[in-house]
This record gives sequence, structure tokens and C-alpha cells, in this order.
Amino acid sequence: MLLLIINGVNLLLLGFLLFNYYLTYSNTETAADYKALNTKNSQYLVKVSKLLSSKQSSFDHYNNFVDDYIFESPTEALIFRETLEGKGIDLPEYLIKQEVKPILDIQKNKVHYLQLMYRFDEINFKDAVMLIDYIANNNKYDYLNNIYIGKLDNNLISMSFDYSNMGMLVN
Amino acid sequence: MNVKKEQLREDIRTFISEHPNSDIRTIAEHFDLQKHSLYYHMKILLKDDVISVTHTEIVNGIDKKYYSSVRQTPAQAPDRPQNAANSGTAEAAAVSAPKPAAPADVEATQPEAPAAAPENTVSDVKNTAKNEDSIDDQAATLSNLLLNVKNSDSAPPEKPAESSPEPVQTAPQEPPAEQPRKQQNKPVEEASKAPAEKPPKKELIEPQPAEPKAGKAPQQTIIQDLTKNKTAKKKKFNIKFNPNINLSSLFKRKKKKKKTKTLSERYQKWAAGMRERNVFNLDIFDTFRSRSLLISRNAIISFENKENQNTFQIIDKEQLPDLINNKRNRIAVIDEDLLDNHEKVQSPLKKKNDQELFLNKFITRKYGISTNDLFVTYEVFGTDEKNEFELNTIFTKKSYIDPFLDLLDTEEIPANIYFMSFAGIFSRYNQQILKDHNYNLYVYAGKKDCVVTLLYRGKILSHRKILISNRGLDRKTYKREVHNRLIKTIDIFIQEYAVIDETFTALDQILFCGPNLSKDIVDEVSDKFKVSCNLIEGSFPSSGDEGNFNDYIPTLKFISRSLAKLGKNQYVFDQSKKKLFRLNRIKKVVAYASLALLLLLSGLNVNIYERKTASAFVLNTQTDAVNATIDLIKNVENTLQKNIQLSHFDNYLNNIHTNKQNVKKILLLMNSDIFKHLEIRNIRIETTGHEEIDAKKQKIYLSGTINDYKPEALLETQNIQNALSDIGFLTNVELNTLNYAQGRLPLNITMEIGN
Repeated sequence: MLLLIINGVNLLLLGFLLFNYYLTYSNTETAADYKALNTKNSQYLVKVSKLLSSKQSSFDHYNNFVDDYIFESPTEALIFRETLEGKGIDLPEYLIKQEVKPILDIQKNKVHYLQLMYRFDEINFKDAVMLIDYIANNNKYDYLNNIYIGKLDNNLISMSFDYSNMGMLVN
Repeated sequence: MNVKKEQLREDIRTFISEHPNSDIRTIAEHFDLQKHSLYYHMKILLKDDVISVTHTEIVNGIDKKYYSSVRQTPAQAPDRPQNAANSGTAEAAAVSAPKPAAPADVEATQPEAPAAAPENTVSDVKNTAKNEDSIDDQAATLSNLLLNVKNSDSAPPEKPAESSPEPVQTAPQEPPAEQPRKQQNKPVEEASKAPAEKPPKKELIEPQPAEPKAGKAPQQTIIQDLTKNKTAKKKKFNIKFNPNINLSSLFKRKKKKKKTKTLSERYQKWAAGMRERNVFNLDIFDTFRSRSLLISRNAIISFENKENQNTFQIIDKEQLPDLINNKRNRIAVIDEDLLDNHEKVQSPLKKKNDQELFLNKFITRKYGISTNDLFVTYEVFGTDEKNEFELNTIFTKKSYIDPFLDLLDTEEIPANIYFMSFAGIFSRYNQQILKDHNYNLYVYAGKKDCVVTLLYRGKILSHRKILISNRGLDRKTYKREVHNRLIKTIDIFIQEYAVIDETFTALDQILFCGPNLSKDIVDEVSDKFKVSCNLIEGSFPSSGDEGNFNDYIPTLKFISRSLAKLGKNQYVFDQSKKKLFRLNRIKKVVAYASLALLLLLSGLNVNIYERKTASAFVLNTQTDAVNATIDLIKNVENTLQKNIQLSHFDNYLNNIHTNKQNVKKILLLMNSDIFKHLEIRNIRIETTGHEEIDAKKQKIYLSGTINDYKPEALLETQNIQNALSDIGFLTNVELNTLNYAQGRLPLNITMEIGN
């Protein structure tokens, strides 16, 4: 009986020995593979790090942009009209060409976009320049696209444009 | 002497009649005698029905008996010897004999002549026949050759007592069928011509009527005593010694007196102990708890031959079945009364089965022992001649085991028992313990016989058993009876072996043991042969009285040591048991190998487990390093991706800002001198939508007319194109003129602003 137990234990030990030997061999092989992999990864990391260093910049426009907010079209049209009224320009009625919608995610912030269309049947060229000048220098990231200017008599012109504005949405 | 004993017995009877229910201790104290010296007398008084056992108590497993007197007529006692003599039994004759040594005075031979022939002869069998017939023929030839040549001076089988050349007891034989029953009951005698050397004292031994073949009768008495008169044998075993004798305490006292031992001495002692316990000896009958029994004339003495060699104990016959039935007990039985014989033959037979068959037939033919009643074992030795083997065998009859089987009340020998002869024990001792390469002669002085064995290493060269009496003798009588026969036997051994082996010149040493050994015997043998004579265990038996257990102690120690070194199981009286022993040996080898493998595997497992743990740690470290690097790479990549995205968006915002300025510039450009000859009708500026986030490009469509002559108008067109091309922020400037008509040249200009 004791002999059977000893032989049983021997079998267990033999199995355990082979199992451990296999594990040791496998671990050694895997560790070697991991080491080689880690070496390559480290080399890649160095390159990526260098690339990152080269891509570092101040992002001034973005830093200014995150403080800009847009609203829904009525509010935005109101603000635009009020602003230009202060400069002596009466804005005509607007058409909503694009209601506020998110266009992309930047740094977990959703950038929204709005487009309103205005049409002046006749406007003084000076006022038109003033309007464009205001848009160009208002430190906001709004802009005019699809501008059409037609010449009328007496220094008057007809003008239509799409006013586009971008910024963070305020709920 | 006898008058004193008779007087003592009468005194005992008187004391018991006055003090009924007295135990042996009380009686011994009253007469100022030792207990064991009273057993003899108590036995005789019980047999004569002078006293009886009134009741019995079991103390420490041994019967403690209380005796009382039995009323009887005074005339009964004197009649007893006559009645006993008339009964014709050897036991009765022995009991009734006035002197214990009386039976030894008559010497008888074997019942058949071959057994009485000189033994230990070496026979050559040159036949190479291997089948049964050839073996049969070989055995027959060899046997006849031996009978004709070696026993040429012996008497024919029918009259061995008259012609046997020496007084040596050899293989006992079954009595012839026609032999009267009474002849078988004569006292034990040794073989051949002892009567010629020492006239028999017939008046002391045998009151039976004279027999024509008196020489045979004593030998048959042995058989009768051992096999058929079971009642007498059982009574023999009933005699008890003090069960409380424990020699280990004596040895312990001796050990205490020893001075403190050094470390090396302790190690040597430990190593010797391990060797003695056969921890590393694969060639043993059993490892531990193996017990041995010496069946002496008066008691069954049990001793552990492994764990506690020095503890001897008297075993009551009632204890014996329990001892045997415990299968964990491997019991070696040495029967002091067991009669064995020795034979050496040379044979070319190689196969074991052929050898066994040949020996069976040889012994059957030569000694008339039927195969069914034969206990034989042998050992194979090489010879000087190639393909020639010496079969060295010890054999006896199974019927001699019967008294032991009667004790067990069984007909079959239990599997955990085997019998050893003194020749086998001497062989073991000489080979395993003494380990010298000399010609040594061993002498066992038993209570009623003397065993003489000549050995070279483990090889038995000659072996004889000299029967002196059919009952135990006191030391003085024994010495007187054995002296001449022992001297003569040793002398014959030397002469015989000198003829066989020319290199043999003299004995190197004679070793003695046995309960009846005395200094006188040793001195006389030493003086006679001028050979170094030593005691095997270094001490003489203490008392020399019959029934004294202490007499066996040196012998028991010697047997115990020999059995502890029992190897290869030679000279075991059951050939079939050898298979069991070999199996046990294989099992033990397997067990040791398994144990060694266990240790090896354990060590390897520890080692490999350490390596596995280390490799797992290295793997974990490498994995962590890889994961850390990957995480770092991911972080850097994410940061890089965000930066790129942010950079794109920042660039986009910058483009918006630039675009707004460009629109202003274009509007101002319309009022510049470049277009002073161009009457502008309309301007359309298209800017890329929010979908194109990477860039803000603007396409400008301008239409107007140049009011001038055609050459001037074309020239002006060229000037406008040149001027616009010089402006850095304008690209892809194209001027398309339409048909000149009515002093007007229509002009369409397209250009782009963008990064």
C-alpha cells in the first residue's frame, strides 16, 4: 500500500515536474519574445516622442476659440443686427441657411456651426466696406462666404452674403 | 545424585501435601532453590500423579500453576518405572530413567543404510543430459556410485548399525513397514558404529525386549518422537521458563557504564546499527518486526531479530497461533530437534528446474525420502571445471516439522514461516558477519545433540548432526558423552576434506556455541587439534542445568545476529518459499528505488519550481515592461493625435482669420488703380464651407467692361492681368475677354485666394 502511495506520489511529482518544466521553458521563450518586442516598442516610442515634440505649439487661435460661444439662429441674428446697428448699418431680414449644428469634436468640446443669409438690395459702398471691415477685425471666428456684390448707380451697390459663425454652444 | 533428587522430590511432595495450592515460587523459596531447577521435578511428580495442578492463572501471558498433593497408595510410585518401561515409549523411558544421560549410552544408526553412510561426499556427474530421464539416470548413477564406493565398508541398508563407520547421525529415514512398532520408540541414537567405540549401557536406556535389528530402532525413535507421538511433543513444549527474563535490561546496564563516546564513534555505532537493522540490506527476509523462534527442547523462545535483538522471551504454546496468525510477523523457526542432512554433488545442469529435479531424485534414491516428504534447499557454487556446478544442499523430511505444526494445530506450514537449520545459520554467520576467508568449523552443543559444520565463507563443506540422547542432558553428562564423538567427527572432517581439496591443510578456527557448551569441551578440542577455538558470542552458558533459559542466551544472540544478516535465503527448508523471498527482495528494491525516485523527483521539483518561479517573475517583469511601453506609446500617440487634430483646427481658425482679411483686401482692391478703367458690374466671392476644415479658399468672380478702343482695351486687360499676378495672395488669375462691341470690351476675371 505504501509502495502504491509512493509510486502515486512519484507520478504526481513527475507530472508536476514536466508541467513546471514546460512552464519554465514556455516562460523563458515568452520572456525572450517580450524582451525583443519591448526593445522594438522602445525604439518606436523614441520616434513617436520626437514627433510629438516637433508638433508641440501654442495653439493661440484654439485658446481664443474656446471662449467663443454661439447661440441659436434668432439670438445670433439679433446679436449680429444689434452689433451692426451700433455702427449705423441696418441689416435686412435674414434667412437661416444652416441652423446650429455640431460639426466636430475638439478636445472633448463640440464645435457648432451656424449660417445666416442676408441680402441688401442697395447699400452704400462705404457701409459695405465698414461691414466687411467689422467682420474682418472682430476677433471672432465668423466669416462671410458667397458674397455677391452688384453695382448700382450713385455709388450704391447691391450685396448678398452668407454669414457663418462657429463656436461652443451655450445651452 | 539420584538419591538426592528422589529425596528432593519426596520433600516437594511432602511440602505440597502440607501446603496445598502452592505455586512454583513458593516451593522454590521454601527449598532455597531457583524456580527453573524445580520444573524437572515438578514434571516428574505430575507424571507420576503424585501432585496435580489445582488451578491456573495467566500472568503476563504465561500460565502460573498451583499444585496440590494427590492421594495415592505408597505402592504406586515404585511401580511407575516398570510401567513406563513396559509402555515402550521413549518418553516414558526417558522420564523413568534414573540418569538423564542414559539414552545417550546407546548408539543407533539410521534405519536404512544409505543414511548411515558417510556424508558430505562430492560426486561428479558428467552427463549433460537435461531431460527428466537423464536426470533420473544421473541421480541413480550417482546415488549407486556413492552407495557402492563410499559405503563400501558400511553395512547393507538392512543392517546399518552393524557396519556404519562412524557415530554420526545423518538424514533420518522412515522406518520400514515391516519393522516392529516398538523398535521405533527406542531412544535417539547417532549413526553407525558408535557401539564399537563405546559399549552401550543397555540397562540404562531400554527395558524393551531385544530386537534383531536393534541398530535401527533408536533412529526410528527420533522420528516417532518428532512426528507420531504428538502428545509427548506437546508436553515437551509445555515446559515453561520464567517469562519475565528480559536481557535488554542487562545490556542497558552495561551501556550506561560506558564512557562518553566521540562523534565518530557515535556515527560508527549508528552506522553499525543501521547495518544490523538491515535498513540498506536488500537481501533479507524481512525488514522490521521480523521475529524468530528457537524451539528448544524445553521451551519456545521468541526474539526479535531486527528491532530489538537482545529481547528474548519464552512463548507459551497458546500464544503461538496468535503470533503466527499475525501476518506482519515473518517468523524464522529454528528447531533444535530438527534433523537435517547435507550433500554436495557436482552436475553440469544449468537450469534451476533441472537442478531441483535432479536433487530430488538423487536424495530420493540415496536416502529413500519420498519427494512429497522432502524439504530441500541448495546453493550453486562454481567448480574448477567449466560447465560444472556444485549443488550444495541441505535437506530434511517434512515430517520433522509436524511437531511444530501440531503446536499450531494446522497441517500446512503458514506462508509467513520458514525453517532454518543450524548449518544455514552457521553459513550466514560465517559469510555475512565473520567475513573471513578461512576454513572455519562451527560446533553447536545442544541439549541433546551436537551439530558440526565445516565452512569456507558461506559454503558448507561438511555438516553432521551427532545425536547424543533423546532428551536433554546436563552439561557434565553431555560433555562426557559428546567428547569422543566430537573429536572423531572433526578428525573425519579434516581427513575427508584434505582428500577432496589438496589446498586444505588445517582448520583455521573452531567456533562454539550452544546451551550445553562448557569450557572443558573447548579446551579439549583446542588441545587435540591445536587450533584457535573461540566462542561465537564470547561467553559460556551460565548454569548448564536442563531447563535453564539463560543457557540459550549466547546462542540466541548468535542466531539473532545471523538472521539479521540473512541474505539470499540459502539453506531454507522450503524451496517454494524462496520465490516469496525473491519477490520480497524485488519489492524492496522497487520500494527503495521508488523512494529514491521520490527524493530525486522532490529535489528536481523544488529546483524546477524555483526556476519556474524565477522565469515567471522574469516573464511578469518583461510583460509589465512591454505593457508599460505600450501604454506609454499609446499615450504619446493619443497626445500626438490630439495635437495634430488641434493643430489642424488651430490652422483652420487661422485660415478663417486670414480669409476675413483677404475679403477686406479684395474689396479695397476693387477701388484701386488697377481697375480704374474697368467698369465693374458685379463681384461674387465664394468661400469654402465649413466641411472643408483644413483650408479656407476663396474664389472670386468679377465681371465688367473696359470702355475704350479695342487696342487700348486689350492693353488695359493685359495691364490688369499683370497687376493682379503681382499681388501675392492671389493665385490662378484668369482674364477672359468677350467680343469687343460698341467700344466696350467685356471682361471676366477669376482668381483665388487661399493658402
